[in-house]
Amino acid sequence: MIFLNINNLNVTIDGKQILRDFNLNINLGEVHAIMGPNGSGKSTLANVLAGNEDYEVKSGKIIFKDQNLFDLNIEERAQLGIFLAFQYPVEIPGVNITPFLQASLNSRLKNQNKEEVDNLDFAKILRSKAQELGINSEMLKRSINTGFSGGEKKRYEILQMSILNPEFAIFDETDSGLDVDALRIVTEGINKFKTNNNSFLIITHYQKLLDYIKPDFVHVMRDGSIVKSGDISLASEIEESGYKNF
Amino acid sequence: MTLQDNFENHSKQYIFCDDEFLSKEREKIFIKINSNNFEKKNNESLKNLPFSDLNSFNYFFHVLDDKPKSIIKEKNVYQVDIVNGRSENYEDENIKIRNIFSKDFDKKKYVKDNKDNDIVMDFNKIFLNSGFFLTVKAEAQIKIHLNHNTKKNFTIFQQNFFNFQKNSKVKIEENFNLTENTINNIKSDFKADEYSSIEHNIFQKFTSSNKLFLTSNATCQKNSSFKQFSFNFSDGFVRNFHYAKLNGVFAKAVLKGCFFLKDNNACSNKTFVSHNAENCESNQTYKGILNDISKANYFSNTFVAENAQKTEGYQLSKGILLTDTCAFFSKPELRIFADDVKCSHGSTIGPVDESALYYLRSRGIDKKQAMKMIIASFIEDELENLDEDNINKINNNLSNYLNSV
Amino acid sequence: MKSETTETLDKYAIDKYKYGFVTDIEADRPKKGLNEETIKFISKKKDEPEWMLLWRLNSFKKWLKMSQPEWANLKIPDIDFQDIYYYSAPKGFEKKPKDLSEVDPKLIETYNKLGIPLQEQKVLAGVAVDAVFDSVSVATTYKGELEKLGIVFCSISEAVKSHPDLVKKYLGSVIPPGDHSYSALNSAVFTDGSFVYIPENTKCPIELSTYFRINAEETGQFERTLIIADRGSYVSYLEGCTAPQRDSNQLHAANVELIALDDAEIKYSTVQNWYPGDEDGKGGIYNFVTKRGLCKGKNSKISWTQVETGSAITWKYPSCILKGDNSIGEFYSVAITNNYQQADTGTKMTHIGRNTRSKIISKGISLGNSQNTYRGNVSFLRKSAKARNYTQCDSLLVGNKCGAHTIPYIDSKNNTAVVEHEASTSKINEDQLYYCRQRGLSHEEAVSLIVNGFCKQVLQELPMEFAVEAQKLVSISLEGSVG
Repeated sequence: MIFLNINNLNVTIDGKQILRDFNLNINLGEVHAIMGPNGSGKSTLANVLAGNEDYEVKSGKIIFKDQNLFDLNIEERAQLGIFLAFQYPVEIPGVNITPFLQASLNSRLKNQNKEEVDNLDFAKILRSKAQELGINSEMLKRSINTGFSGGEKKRYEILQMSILNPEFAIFDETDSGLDVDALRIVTEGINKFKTNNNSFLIITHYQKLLDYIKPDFVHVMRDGSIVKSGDISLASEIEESGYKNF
Repeated sequence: MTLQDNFENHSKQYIFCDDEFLSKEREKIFIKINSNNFEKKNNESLKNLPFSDLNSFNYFFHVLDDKPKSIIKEKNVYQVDIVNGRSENYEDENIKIRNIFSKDFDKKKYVKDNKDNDIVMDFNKIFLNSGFFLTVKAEAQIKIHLNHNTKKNFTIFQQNFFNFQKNSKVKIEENFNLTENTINNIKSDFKADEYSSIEHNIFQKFTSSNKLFLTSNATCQKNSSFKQFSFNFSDGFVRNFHYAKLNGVFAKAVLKGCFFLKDNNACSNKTFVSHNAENCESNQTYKGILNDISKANYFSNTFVAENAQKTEGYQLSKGILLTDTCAFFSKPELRIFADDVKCSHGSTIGPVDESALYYLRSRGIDKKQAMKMIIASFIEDELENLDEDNINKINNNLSNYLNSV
Repeated sequence: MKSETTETLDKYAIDKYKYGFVTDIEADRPKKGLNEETIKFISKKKDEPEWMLLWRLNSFKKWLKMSQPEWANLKIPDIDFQDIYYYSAPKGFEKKPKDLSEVDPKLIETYNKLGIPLQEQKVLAGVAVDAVFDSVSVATTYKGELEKLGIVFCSISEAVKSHPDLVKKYLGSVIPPGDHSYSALNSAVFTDGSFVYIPENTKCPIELSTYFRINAEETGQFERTLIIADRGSYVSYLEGCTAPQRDSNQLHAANVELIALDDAEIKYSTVQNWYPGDEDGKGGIYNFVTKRGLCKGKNSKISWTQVETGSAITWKYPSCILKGDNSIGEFYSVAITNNYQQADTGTKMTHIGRNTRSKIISKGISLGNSQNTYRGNVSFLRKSAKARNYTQCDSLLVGNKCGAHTIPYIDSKNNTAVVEHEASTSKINEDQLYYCRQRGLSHEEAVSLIVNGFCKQVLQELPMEFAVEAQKLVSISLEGSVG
């Protein structure tokens, strides 16, 4: 099975080219990190994988779990196991996490031909996962992301990931705006969730995050494509001398 | 004198009465008003209006021999004096001014113009006796001081037409020097061509025997910007009705005003912005302070046409009531036919914030001074983009007003 | 994709208006048209005392002199008042059935289909129901239980005879017949409705509920509801409405009067789901309703909550007159318009007494080709010292063929009163949709979820079982317009 293969991807937004002949291969069980300066196209990659309709794919192909991703819309990709942890999770006033995430989980279970969970079972799952991640029950009563601090929002994303159990999770600059404590909580969550049966794409600007999550591969992105790939040592190199060498 | 007397005694003396079409229109409108045959109940133009004054005034107008001194120019600063409704014709590389003639009227426009059922505009049409064209030429960057001087007992019914050509950048300061017992019913059209930028600051300060009915219609083309601020410190009645149409993409309109009322004065305010093109922005903000037995109203309206996507429209109305005998009415409307919009309005009416007053006084500031500080902060946001001179002028007027509180 | 669309459409067709069936039952009707004869016919059918008939005839005289209000942001086709039946009763209702065994089983079946249980043994705990079918009240459940507490809950026709003093004193005291043409019309020809009296210091232990149903064709429904909460009492009242699916328009012009005396509280909730017409705007109910509450006593409270999803035209402003010092008025509203529906709805808060408070939360959602207007009037009269109002009205637009309008009137004549008003209009947030879909929800589910969230402040004011129903109704109203 091809887990994830991105082949010669060209993407524009409002007529401006962002990704140029982009290539990347990720196998099940791997953790990849993409680093790059602002405007190199990192977030575009995350959004194209998730199916954001603002971006126009000019050419190229993405195969995920043997399926052509471009045949699937946003929710179908999510149901297939793609999870995007947003850089700026949006506030949705009035909507509580319980009905939202239950519908979300059930859409995923349905896709896997598994039995859907009922209200009671879901409440149990939600409570135990929240407890595991140190999220207090008061936070579960509030509307989605509404009035949350930056750190709370990110933790909330981790909670959703651990309940939805995706095969492929993309973290879009999750570290931005987090202090060291919040960063540790988030990365602990990721590390706890990591198994041989799921893969990660970590998009980040700084090396800091990668001190906590040890990626198998590090890629440097610039002007819409990967300019260098290597292991964790590449990240240290960037930390020392920046992106100017690439 | 009654409306009928005014109409009959003076209709032959009006300027422009040589135009047959105009005369007929005037007659039609006169009949409508005189027979009381118009909508009154929901007619916004009648709110707080001293209708009896409007209806039974002494029409008085004649062309004076002494021509207005008109234009003094110093480094792109123009002084345009309007004396009893008339200006001097003038032209240079930046600007062109001339008085109107009957042949200037676009007849179709003259007929269809008043869809709002505005009784004041009806009077303006019946008794129209003056007006001018003012064109700011393309690329010009100038300041204009526009001074209306109206002599005792004069009744001015005026229509002015401003055109700001492409890329012009203009600052207008409009002042009203009204002597005694005058009526000034003035309508100005502002046509902002592509990429033009206009700031229009209006200062209204005159004694209680004078009345001012000021109406303006701005039409904004692509990437133009029209910003208007009116400051009403008058002891006499003022009506500020200002409209803006955003007809070209990325155009911007700001209609703002502050009014300060006392005694038994009244004022009526209305702003209306129609968004007819994409990506336009508007802001309508009026703030007022009412004392004694004064009363005021503010109608605001944001209209967004079906095709005007990506509109941002904002409205705010704020009133401070200083006594239990004044009254403020506000009606902030949104009428939206496009879906990709961000429109909002806010409105508050109430007394001076007691807790703020208490706080300041507990820090040793006397009550009057504390009131002044709070009221000054109330309008502070609106002064942001004004010149030092204008800010000083407003602050002086404000402290005069507050001394009477 | 195709099959999914077809599936959705099928679901839509079924769910869209599931109350659109007609009950085949013989009806007793006078001739069409409005005149003194019609009024006398109604009054006679109801075996009314003379004073009631005179009141009706007086109202009719007023109506003749009045014209329909025209200020609303609505396109109302001419209504031919002479082409309407003003009374329709299931045959054999000259005498109201004593108990349910005397009611035509077809009627009971109708209400079962609507989900309104009439048989007491089937009644879910805690709701007493008065059901009005066309022009007559069919049955009032739980009556006996309530009688023990001194609570009167019966049809207005019954109350005219059994409690004439209360009816005489309060009928028309909040909405005078001459208020406007629809109140005059209703006062002349009202056929039935509910009457509630809660005695002093009594908390009504169950929710009282009326269910209105228009069945007969070309019939106008003119019910009249009068609720009086005596000193220190409390009552929560629910109202639901449906009508069959028909091509012609039907007129509904109800009047609801609430009176709260000292320290009393009335909570009035409506889920209005009259037939809205089809996708092309054909048919549907014209809903011209006057609802007004009088906070007569000090510390009294009246709270209106409405979820308006039905009707071709809605013209409705549940209002509060805050006369008693410290009295409170509240208005919570969700109005959803789709297809060619038009709604002009809102409230009027008149602050008369000292220290009176009001709160307005209005959520409008426009879809399809509909026009949705919020119209609200907040006024502080001279003596309303320290009165306060807070208003928040938000509109959401889905699609670019509909319109959302906000028309508040704010009038302050007291310098210690404070009014705060906020409003916003925007389209449904694309980022929120993206977020929900990224978590696997379909576009339609995502819209429904977000809209329900948008309405939450209002929906949470409804009693529990109504809130669940209302949430479903909100979702159904959105279907077919998304995507």
